[in-house]
Amino acid sequence: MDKAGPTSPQLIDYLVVLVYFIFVLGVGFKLKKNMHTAEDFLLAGHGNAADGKSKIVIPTWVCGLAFLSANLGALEVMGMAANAAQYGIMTAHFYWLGAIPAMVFLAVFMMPFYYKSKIKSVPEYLRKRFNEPTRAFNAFSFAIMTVLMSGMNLYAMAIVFQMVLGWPIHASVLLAAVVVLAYTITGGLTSSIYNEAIQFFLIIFGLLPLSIIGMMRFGSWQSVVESLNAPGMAHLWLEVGRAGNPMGTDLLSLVMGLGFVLSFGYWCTDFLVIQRAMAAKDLYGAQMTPIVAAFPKILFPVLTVFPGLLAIIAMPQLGSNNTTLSFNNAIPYMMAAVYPNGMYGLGLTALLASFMSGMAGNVTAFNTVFTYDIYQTYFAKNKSDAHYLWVGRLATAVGIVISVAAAYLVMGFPSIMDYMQTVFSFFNAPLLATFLLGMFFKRTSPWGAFSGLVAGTFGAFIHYLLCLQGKLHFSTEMAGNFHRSVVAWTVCFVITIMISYLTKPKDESELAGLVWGVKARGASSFDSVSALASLESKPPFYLTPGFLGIVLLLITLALNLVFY
Amino acid sequence: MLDVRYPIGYLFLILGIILAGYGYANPATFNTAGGPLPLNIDVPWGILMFLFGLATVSVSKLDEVRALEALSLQETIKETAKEAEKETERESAPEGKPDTENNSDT
Repeated sequence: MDKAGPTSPQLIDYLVVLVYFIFVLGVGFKLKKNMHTAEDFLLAGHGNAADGKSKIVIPTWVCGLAFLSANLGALEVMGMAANAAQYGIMTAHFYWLGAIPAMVFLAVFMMPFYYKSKIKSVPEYLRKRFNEPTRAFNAFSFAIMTVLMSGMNLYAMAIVFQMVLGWPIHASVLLAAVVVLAYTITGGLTSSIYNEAIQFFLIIFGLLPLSIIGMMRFGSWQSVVESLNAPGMAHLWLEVGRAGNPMGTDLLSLVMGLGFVLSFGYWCTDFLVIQRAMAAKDLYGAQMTPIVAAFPKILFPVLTVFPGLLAIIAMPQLGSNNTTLSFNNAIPYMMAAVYPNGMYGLGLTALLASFMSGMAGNVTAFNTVFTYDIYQTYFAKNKSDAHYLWVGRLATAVGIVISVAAAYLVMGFPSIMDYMQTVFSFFNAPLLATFLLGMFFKRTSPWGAFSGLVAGTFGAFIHYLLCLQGKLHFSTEMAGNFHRSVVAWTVCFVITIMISYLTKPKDESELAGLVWGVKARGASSFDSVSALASLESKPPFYLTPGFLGIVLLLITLALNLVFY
Repeated sequence: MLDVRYPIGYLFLILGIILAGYGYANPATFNTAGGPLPLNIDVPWGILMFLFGLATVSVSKLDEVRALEALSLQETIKETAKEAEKETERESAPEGKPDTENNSDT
């Protein structure tokens, strides 16, 4: 836009990348001496510092940034910019409709159950609340999903290396895998969380100038809107359900599919995000983690959606048959077009940081679920802590090796990004119904939950097959995903309730602390004492998750009105 | 345990210097809606990153100094309390001693 031709990397750009790699590895090695137990390594201490069991204390703001950064992977940065180039500003729905309300709900209503029940993973909650088969189903499907997602981040990273630096794809995959392995196998979840905090700032500093320069180039938002070729590209709600809507969605599937099922399914039940909040030092910290993350999240469309819009204005044939550049190239294309050397290196580092945080996030969630929910449960119970620490490290290495294999799998399927989102709707959508019923409806029985979960996933597969055969038709892949998630959720919800009334629920005494409103017998006097004690350390009302949640929802509402 | 603000701060300090230094040595112009500017984005952005790094390290150092101050204050309080205890023991000892001596005399 402002330069004669696209920037090509120089020594200075490599230097910036190198400095970043040194710091990332340095943090991993520095934290290695703090990893004494399996919980230190896999759960970052999980609030055990208070009773002296662990020396790891992670501040709430660091957990919040890690919570955010772990999601800033390939799908978020490259994927959202690609979606913006394809669907316009409606992509911001993934933030203002599809993230903030769910993050507030997680903080206020669901986190107390996760944190107080002292579970090590989300599948473990399912075992405590329901039964072993429900946990097993979730643990295995989650383990598969994480390594596939991790592989996708690896693939995206290799694509950037190849496109921008001209490196061979095999060397890029191996280099990225070795760096992530080096800092996760040494410092575990803590190292991953620390690096995610560093990566958060790098992503901001590396991507923000794209939007700033773009805004300086156009002068105002109005000029940007006028340069877009369709009115639907610049509005969130105006064209929903009409022919001019580039996403091809109707109001019901957008609000129910994205705004409720997909977003609540991801933010409230995915262990990758929950794990970061549970690493906080106490319940208040765990509840505040999604809230701390939600404030910058509101502004993230500036970093991802806006550059995507600029890319389609600068290169209208992007994603068409007239060029080899797909929508996924929106951000790298804009960086080469706008950034001078030096800044270009920083932009590349930001992209690498985003893929590495996405990958490390998945790998550290995988090693925990594998160690506790698969290995400890089915292969080796009652072993020493040192044994599980060793298995945790081994699972990290194995997870990365499988990710490399998954990266090659992704290479064989050019449209795997769409398919991954589809897979996401298969597993997370029914899981949300299971969790909502499990946490807020005590009549839900163990076998009701298991049958619902299996039926919901199966329902999603049938829906997908009908789409493939052309018996169900949607104008875009995205509209199909939203619709499928609603179907999967509804099937799970209905079947769970039906089977629950036909089978025996768990005794109330077993549900204390796991279900809304169910307390342990004889807990009332204890509760009043602890409530009095906690009253003294209560934060002021303007720092409570509830109040800040309302503030977040109001800001989100205002943004929806502004960009209506 | 490592304070995460140190690696964040030092990383941005170093990257800021590299970026601003390179940009200063390689001046360029770029076009905006208002016309071309004799400015290389590397320089202001490098300076901003440097300042961010500096602020992060400073806040971290400040917290460290505060923690050390609090620690030394606690130790001073403990020592003062110990000395005060000894003082009271010493004050009460001369009063008790003659009594015992008197008792033994009797």
